[in-house]
Amino acid sequence: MEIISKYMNNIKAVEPRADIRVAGDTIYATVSHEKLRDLAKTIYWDMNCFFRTCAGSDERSINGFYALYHIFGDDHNGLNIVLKTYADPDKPVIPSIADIVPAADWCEMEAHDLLGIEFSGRRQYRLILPPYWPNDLYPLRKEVSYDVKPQVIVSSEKVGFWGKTSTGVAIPIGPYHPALHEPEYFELYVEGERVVDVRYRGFHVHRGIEKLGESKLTYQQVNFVAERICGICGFEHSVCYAQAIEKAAGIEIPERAKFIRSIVLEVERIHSHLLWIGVAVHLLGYDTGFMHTWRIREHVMVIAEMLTGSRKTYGINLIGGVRKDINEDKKQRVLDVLKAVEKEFTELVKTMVNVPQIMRRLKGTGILSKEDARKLSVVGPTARGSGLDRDIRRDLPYAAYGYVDFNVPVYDDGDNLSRFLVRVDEVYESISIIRQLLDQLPQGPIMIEEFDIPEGRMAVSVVEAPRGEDIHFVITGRGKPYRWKVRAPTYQNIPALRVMLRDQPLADAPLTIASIDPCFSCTDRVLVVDKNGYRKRLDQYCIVGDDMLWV
Amino acid sequence: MIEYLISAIIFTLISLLIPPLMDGVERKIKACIHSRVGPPITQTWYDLLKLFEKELVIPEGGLYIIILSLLYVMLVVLTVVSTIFMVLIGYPYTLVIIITLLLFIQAIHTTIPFITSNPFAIIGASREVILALVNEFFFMIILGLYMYFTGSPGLLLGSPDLLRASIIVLVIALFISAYIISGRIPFDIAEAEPELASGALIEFSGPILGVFMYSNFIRILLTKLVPSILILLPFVNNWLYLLIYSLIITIGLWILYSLVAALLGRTRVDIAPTSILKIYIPFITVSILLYLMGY
Repeated sequence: MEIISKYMNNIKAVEPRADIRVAGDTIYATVSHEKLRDLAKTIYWDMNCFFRTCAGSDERSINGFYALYHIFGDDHNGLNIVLKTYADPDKPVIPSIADIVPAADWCEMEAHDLLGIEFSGRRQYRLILPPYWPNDLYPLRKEVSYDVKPQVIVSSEKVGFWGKTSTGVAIPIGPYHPALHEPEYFELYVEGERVVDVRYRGFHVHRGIEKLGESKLTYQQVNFVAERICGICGFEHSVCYAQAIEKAAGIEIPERAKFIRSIVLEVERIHSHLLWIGVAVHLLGYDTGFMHTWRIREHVMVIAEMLTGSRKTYGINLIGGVRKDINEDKKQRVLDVLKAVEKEFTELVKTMVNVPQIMRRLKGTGILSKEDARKLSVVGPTARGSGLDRDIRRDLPYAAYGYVDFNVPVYDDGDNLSRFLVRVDEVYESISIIRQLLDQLPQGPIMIEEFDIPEGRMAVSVVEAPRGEDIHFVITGRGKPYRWKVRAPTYQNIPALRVMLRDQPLADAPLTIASIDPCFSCTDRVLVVDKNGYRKRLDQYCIVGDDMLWV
Repeated sequence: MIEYLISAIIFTLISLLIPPLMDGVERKIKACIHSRVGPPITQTWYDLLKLFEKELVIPEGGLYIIILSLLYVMLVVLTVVSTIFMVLIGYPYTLVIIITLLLFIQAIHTTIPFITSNPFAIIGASREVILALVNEFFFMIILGLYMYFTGSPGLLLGSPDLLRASIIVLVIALFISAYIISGRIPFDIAEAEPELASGALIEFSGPILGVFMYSNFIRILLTKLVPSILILLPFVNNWLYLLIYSLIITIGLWILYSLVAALLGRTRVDIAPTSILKIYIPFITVSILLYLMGY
């Protein structure tokens, strides 16, 4: 309570007219344009919060305005702080905070693309929509139907025409490349074998998920779409969404359901980390390690199938609980399989770290300093590998994580080896967590039978996905979300790649890109476009004054 | 003479047929280590034949690449034929000819990707050059020292003088050189698929890729055959048996190298030369010292 008062006082000190309310672990403050930047600085730097995301919303049908929600997180005290500001319906302009909070760069441009909100004090450009998308068509505005198909002339984008801001030869990585498992495009500028600059163009895999969730689907149906945001970490999206609605509506799900969610989340974490470890060593040419890691991962997929009926895309989450229970004979089988996984994984890791090329190439490469990690508010193993002690499971406990003890591995070197070791340690922690959860699994129902979801409620849900914190922000509507914003962890981590890739050998570029465990399906649920139809001048993306940002 | 001719033809045919088969064996061994079933050992031949059936796509660099690729394969085949023939007849300058032909092959192998303007191919070829500057250079030095220590540019069949420690050390270094030339992990940095999307080979497809890969397999066989012949020289008194046993050892080496490659990761272009130097310099130094000491 003391910390909440402190926040309220600090906000009032900057903006005396701020309208503040507290809902659980979230402080909502409606602020004016004039004070937004000062408040952002106060919260982000003076109060040492992290930036989670920002979400634009078309609230003209509710209050006549557009709104922008900047969401900050005080992990140390388990709080979310949401700064809401309104924009004029006819000419929506909001001051940019991206120079103060570098991590806000992309989400501002996302709001710019999808809602037409202009941001003053920064250079703007299309980030999400394709080059040929009409200029005045903003998909997330309420008058635009989810199934609109504008008449367009599809044009391809010029490759390598990035302006004259970089030296070096351009090496394209993507959109199709053996090192990438989803379509993304990195343009590396190299001098010899050294990367001197990087350009990124993403968002090839847009599926209009947010618009779909706000238009066509019911609350319960969105669970299943949320799980399909990602093929590797889908369940955590589904949990994050369900928790957001439950939080907004004040729904308390049964304890047993919380435990089941947590167990399946940890199973997903283990499978995801094993997948990543295999891919990482494959990128280093150690295919033996890759094959054996994925062989071990097969046991985890079997656990998932035992518990949920599916190896992946489990489909067990609903608002109000889960659809599938765990019976007693499954518990023992899960424990037996986990024991075998732990043993084999230990042997494999011991072998891997003794392969000289593995350690040589992981150590000292792709460095992200703690300072840069903090500025960019990176999340997950990327953050923990750079010395940032952040884990939402511990800091803002959700589901059943409040009932278990676990360590949060943190390494300070900020290199690829640190991120590798964080994930290795997290596999062991996840195994331990599952054992504790199974041991303490309470009896009872797994689903609430009846509940209401009132309109106009808001909530921020944060879940620690395998790649980092995933955020779902919802505003409830009638029978479906009024606004559903998803910020996946990779979305937060990709901007750090430019720092990590600079001055690195070209040979380490795929490994460094992979080290953040990028999930582009998660990241790309929105689209970005250059307003002239060509991604010509990526220097338009630059946030003035900060050379860490994408130029 | 007829016997030599028939033997030469048989060995040539074997040498041209075996390499893709051995690559298939290598894939099978790798699969076993990976706990997989793996493809059949004839898979590499299936792959090559399939490539030869595909449409001919002229890569960037056009006709030059096709000409050089054909020259490459002809040179490789010529080297196989001439090596077998020279061994069978005990040609006095065998080693000199072999070094020359192998270096020609390597030069063409490295040059072809440079003709394309694909940045991945050029980077891959550059990496190949960096490796070759170290590895092939020491390959020449080692063979040169061998010829100097033995006092002959040819093969001294059945000579007990070849059992000297200084010479054995040089031959062991040649076995290592053969591994590096074969482009296996950790030295497959010219292709390095996750980094360079096939690197030096990126512009090749269909029959051209088939020709290139097939030539590579034969080149790998040749580089193993040379040290195999040299190590057997003191123990064999018949050229025909020398060739037979050398081929058997070459096959055994291929299997051994497969095991080694499966247990390592890929090095990096800035690390590889240093790693190679750390191997060769001690070997050469020890060999020279042993020679000076009379061993």
